[in-house]
Amino acid sequence: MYETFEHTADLGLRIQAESLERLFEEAAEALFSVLVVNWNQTATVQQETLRLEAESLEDLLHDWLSELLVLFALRKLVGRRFEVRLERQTLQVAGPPEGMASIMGPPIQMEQEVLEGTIWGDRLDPDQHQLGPEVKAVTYHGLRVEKHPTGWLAEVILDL
Amino acid sequence: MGSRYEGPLEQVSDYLWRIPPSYKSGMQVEGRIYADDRLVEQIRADQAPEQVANVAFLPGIQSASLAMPDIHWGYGFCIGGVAATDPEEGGVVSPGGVGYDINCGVRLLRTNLKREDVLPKINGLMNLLFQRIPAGVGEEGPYHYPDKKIRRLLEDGAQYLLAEGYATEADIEHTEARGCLDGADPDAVSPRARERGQDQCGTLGAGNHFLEVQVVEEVFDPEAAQVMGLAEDTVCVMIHSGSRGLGYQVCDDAIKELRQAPAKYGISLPDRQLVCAPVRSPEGQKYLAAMRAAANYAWANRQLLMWQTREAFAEFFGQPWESLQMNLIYDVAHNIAKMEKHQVGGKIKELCVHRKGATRSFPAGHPELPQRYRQIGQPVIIPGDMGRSSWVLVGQPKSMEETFGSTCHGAGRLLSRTAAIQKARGRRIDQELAAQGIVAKCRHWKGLAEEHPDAYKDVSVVVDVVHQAGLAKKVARLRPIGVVKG
Repeated sequence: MYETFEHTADLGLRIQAESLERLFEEAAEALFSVLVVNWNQTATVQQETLRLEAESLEDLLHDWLSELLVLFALRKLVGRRFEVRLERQTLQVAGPPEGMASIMGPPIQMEQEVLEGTIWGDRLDPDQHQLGPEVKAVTYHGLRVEKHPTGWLAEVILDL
Repeated sequence: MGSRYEGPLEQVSDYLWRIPPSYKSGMQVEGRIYADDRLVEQIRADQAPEQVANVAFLPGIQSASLAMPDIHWGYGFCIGGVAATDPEEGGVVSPGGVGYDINCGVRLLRTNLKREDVLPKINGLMNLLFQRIPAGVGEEGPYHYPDKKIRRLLEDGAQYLLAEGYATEADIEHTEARGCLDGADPDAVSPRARERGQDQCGTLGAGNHFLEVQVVEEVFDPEAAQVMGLAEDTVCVMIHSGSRGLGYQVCDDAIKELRQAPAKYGISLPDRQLVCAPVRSPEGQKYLAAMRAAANYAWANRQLLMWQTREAFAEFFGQPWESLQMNLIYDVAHNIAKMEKHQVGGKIKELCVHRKGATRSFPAGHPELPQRYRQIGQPVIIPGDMGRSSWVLVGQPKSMEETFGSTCHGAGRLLSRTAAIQKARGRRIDQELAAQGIVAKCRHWKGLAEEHPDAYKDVSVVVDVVHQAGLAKKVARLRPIGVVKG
């Protein structure tokens, strides 16, 4: 479930979903519903896959939507259906060279969020698609991804 | 709409308000907002003043975090903000202080045509301009810049077009920074950003970007107007656009790369969108090199838009643009960061001046001004909304003393886009404008609805404040008779 909210010069998206994966999928739908008014009449004849890594869920949501925006701007791809898999990975960052550990400390572990996404859609067709406003970018201003007792909530502001 | 600003806003003079640095711990300097009694009430209505206070956190910021009377709520930085930082004092550069549309700006060209020459034919002229000027989301233009060529364009900006035959020396002379910032590095621009730029140079874009045919309605400073070639009833063309997808991508890439920079350099920020790096750091230098390249692209973009306009006029009126005397008056950037020399506390310093929705406003005698404008000051072009006026001002000495040589950039949004559309529901904005003598051409009803006059503050009120505050002086007011929107 998603809705837009107002921000003077820009446009906010508020997305709610039962699972985190669904939250990301719905966020993608919300973005395309802004970009192309009749996006849900798009055929699912083209397929793209993406793999993204980020340090937090907020950054990952930003990157996911930004990548979709680039696919739209550069490859003219209108997304219609999205499938997202998410995973938290623990990275072992290589430690210092042998003999230096006493000075530089032990190897460190870092966590990162990984997204694997598939997008089905069709090439933008000016005769069929009705364009919405130009979205310049996905901002970090007021960006949130939060867990609630009943599911997940995200808010993101688009620069128009 | 965001909640109302409830923090302190102290009146300093009739046109200046202050947010004391004690408001938030972490503010390095105070906030200063230029506004009159009427505007200040609108400004308090959302969180824009809070953003002025947040910008005051930036390391190395000088004097004050400044806001012009057209201030409105943005993301991170407010729109209408000016912040200057000193690299000697760890001063930072912030991509958010420039914005996604790097070197969004305005240019104004005059013609020797008078209102009565154009008005009877305005429909035909606007139809031709609408046909010839590529406008709208993702629209591509007739010019193509494959990677090898775009690298040169990014390095040399509008000057690159001299060799291509799409610019004259006088055009370059009358463009801020001569249409090219030094230190632009095409390699600092990602391949993806360069690809986004290949087919968009010479296109208007969407949103608040426009091309307007305007008529000088009133002259306030006859001497300055004469130097610019403006008189009552002179027909002009105003072009408002920026760096298109290339600029958005440069900004997005930079913010992503700088995510870790505040932690690395020990900078604490109240809003992530303010992310920044010291000017004198590899990260800061890389962003500046990419931002300058995008700024150069924007100047080339507006130059090509002007060139297509000249060609359309020449075709329509059946004479070369030179004999129509379609000369560029000036081109100004209003989303940019530049290294400039300013006096702070009696010392000349080289500062990184961020202008986000603010226009450079150098006074008479400034060495960066072209010879033609040395005596009168830099022309400042202020676009209004499409139903009301736009303005030409000249920079005044007080801008150097108070605002790092800056003034306002436009009307400033009053309504969000959704609120604007709701207000326009059931109305034919094009017919309303036609009733006022304005022919509006737009790909889609929504484009006009989002941008209709009620969505903006009255630009004349904004201009009054900068005029009274001595930041810039009124020269002429222009009124649109034809509009092309994306």
